[in-house]
Amino acid sequence: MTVALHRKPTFLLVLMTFFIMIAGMITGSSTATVLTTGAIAYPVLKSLGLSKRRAGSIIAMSGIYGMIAPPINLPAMIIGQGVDMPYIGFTTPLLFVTFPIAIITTLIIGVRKVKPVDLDEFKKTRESEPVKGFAVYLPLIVMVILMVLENVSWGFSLGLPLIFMISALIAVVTGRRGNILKISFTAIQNALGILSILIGVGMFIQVMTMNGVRGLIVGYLNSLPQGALLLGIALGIPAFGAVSSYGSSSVLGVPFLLAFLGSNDIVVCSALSLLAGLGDMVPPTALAGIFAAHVVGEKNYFKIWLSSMPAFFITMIFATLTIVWATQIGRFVNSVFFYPVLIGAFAIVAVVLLLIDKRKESVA
Amino acid sequence: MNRFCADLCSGFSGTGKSWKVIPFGGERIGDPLKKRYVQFIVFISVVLVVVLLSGFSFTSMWKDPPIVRGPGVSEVKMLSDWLPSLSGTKGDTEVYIIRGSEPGGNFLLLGGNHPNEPGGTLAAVLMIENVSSLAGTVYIIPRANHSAFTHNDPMEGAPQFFSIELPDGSRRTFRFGSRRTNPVSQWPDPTIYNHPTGSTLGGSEISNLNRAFPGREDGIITERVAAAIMNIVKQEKIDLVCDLHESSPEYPVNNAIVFHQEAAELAIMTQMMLEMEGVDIRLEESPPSLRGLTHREIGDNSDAYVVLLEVANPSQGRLRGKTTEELVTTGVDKYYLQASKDGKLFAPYDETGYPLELRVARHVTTVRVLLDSWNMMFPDRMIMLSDVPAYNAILSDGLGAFLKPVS
Ligand SMILES: [Zn+2]
Repeated sequence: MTVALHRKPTFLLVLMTFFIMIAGMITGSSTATVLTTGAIAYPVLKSLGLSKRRAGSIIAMSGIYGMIAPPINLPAMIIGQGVDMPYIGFTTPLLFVTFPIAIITTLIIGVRKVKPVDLDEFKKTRESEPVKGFAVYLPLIVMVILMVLENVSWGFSLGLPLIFMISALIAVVTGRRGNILKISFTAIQNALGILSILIGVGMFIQVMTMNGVRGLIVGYLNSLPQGALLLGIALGIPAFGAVSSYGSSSVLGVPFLLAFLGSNDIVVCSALSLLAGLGDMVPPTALAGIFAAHVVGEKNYFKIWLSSMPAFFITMIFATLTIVWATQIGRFVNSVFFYPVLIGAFAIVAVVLLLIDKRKESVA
Repeated sequence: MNRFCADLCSGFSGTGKSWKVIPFGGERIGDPLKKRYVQFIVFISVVLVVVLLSGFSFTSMWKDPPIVRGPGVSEVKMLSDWLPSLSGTKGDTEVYIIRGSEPGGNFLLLGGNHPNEPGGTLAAVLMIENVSSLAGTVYIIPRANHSAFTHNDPMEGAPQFFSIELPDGSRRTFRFGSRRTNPVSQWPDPTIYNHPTGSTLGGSEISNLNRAFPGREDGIITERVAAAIMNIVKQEKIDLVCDLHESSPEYPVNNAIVFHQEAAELAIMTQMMLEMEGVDIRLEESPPSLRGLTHREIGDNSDAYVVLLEVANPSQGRLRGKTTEELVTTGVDKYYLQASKDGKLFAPYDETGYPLELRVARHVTTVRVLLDSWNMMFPDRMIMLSDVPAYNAILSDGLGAFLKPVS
């Protein structure tokens, strides 16, 4: 594939974005996406000439879009559960709120930086790696397969802890040999940081709920007039998502959906889920950003966070406008025109990207 | 040293400073060994104390507060009598049977399907401790999801217990449980819960009893509890099922009878008769696409008529302020009052709050009127109860007047 596409860097960049999103679409987790397809995509993004921070921010944001894209979107399910809305009819609205914005933000982050891939150099860097070939990705592939099986089948459930353990055991066999005991110690040591944040944040919410501060915030946001309410939603849901995008969906997503009942609930819920997903980029937890930094080997995750900010805010505005025009958007995504328009738009974008690449090539 | 942790902390400060982590068994140069041992022992001791205290607190909810057998109770069985594999698990729970002096229809009343909705549980307890049957048999399960009574929802700040004062000055204590089965009974939740009917729910709903129906006899605990309840419905030839709940005041389905389509006529008649008694109640038809709920699955999978009752409970909603025992029993909350003034609630709400006795009175009265309507529609399968606590009596005398003292 790369053989044909290596001279079409902009086109390839958007394809890689879609590729990263796949894991999120089927697992419903931005973290899993960043660590699997994100990790696999990184060498390609690097060879396209992207810096660590730009590549990292594309991986992190694509992880979020993937987690929100259909078929599996947990924040939307959680918000829907709060109002007894079944998870049905979400495919087109979720396609609408994820793919176009994913293309736009990826281009904003990367379009001016990408250049044709130097195949020789790419091969050289691949060869200098200690473990080659398919085997190195096997643990990730097994992990994704097990997660997907868990999501599509009735009654098959290993549970995430066991799935991760199985994948880790496969890595022991397929990866570079090492001292397992030492690796386990290091892994636990590494995990302690994030565990302490998650536990601390959980304790924080428990106390804030008990003493009524959570109610104060939710109540205040909910009492705002329409315009301010939209602003409150746009800022509040991602901010609360810093704690956990699922928690934010439940605590804020549900009352906000109730506040907008009557336009097109499924479209509003989809947009709210996108805002909740953005929470995975908000410190201190910022799971998508932190893991993306880990994947690209960027020590300071704050840099990745910074270069994601334009994408972050564009997504936030886009989601808010989707709520405002939910009725009209709902009519569009449920009409027979939706898929033809979507495919047509993709085709036009593809042509434009290829034209950009042609110019890039002639300049080079 | 520890790259990932360094990433994490640089995220906090933006300066790239890393945390000092003392790995157990790792080496940190320059520290005298002794000093580290002292640190280690002090740290571990503190952790141990915290863990022990939390452990005691966590298991304090594992003992069932007593329910007193009322004069009408003829037999107390266990759910495992209808599904032996439940025996010895946290899912097993009492089924109170009130047999009538005359034959008649069979009625199943569920409380505690969601243990964080105490109005449903208390209404079932009030029935057990007070009513007798003149005709027909009543099966009451006050703690339908027994496992969910043994813990709280994390991050909801809910109290573990609440108590009600009796006329003799003693108090009866009840648990404020969780919406979901205790993870000690079933863990971990999958990412996605594929309901056997093909509908998709978020993973945590796999431990929600009211999404597990019709259940599976060889499934996980929650599914087995649902299957056992289904077995009661089938084997005991239950004619009518009523499932008692509470819901947040900002939720549209509130102070409502949710009915399976076959129970439509019964629900409408109940609403009309309640209206005459001055009790406003909404009607909601069970949506066919919403799977796993009692009113959908028991209705579809048996001959029974099924309704579910909702009443507003501010201690469970998302707008609530300080979450305390008082909130559970009085329902007085300033943020709900504000939301009510802003017209955001689906239940009438004022300074008097939404006290537990009002919620229970609504449930008990609705059940009484439901049975009256049933008897009019199906006189060949009468379910006639006596000594059902009256609406006004519950409000004026309080719940304590209808609870028996525990010796
Ligand atoms: Zn309920």
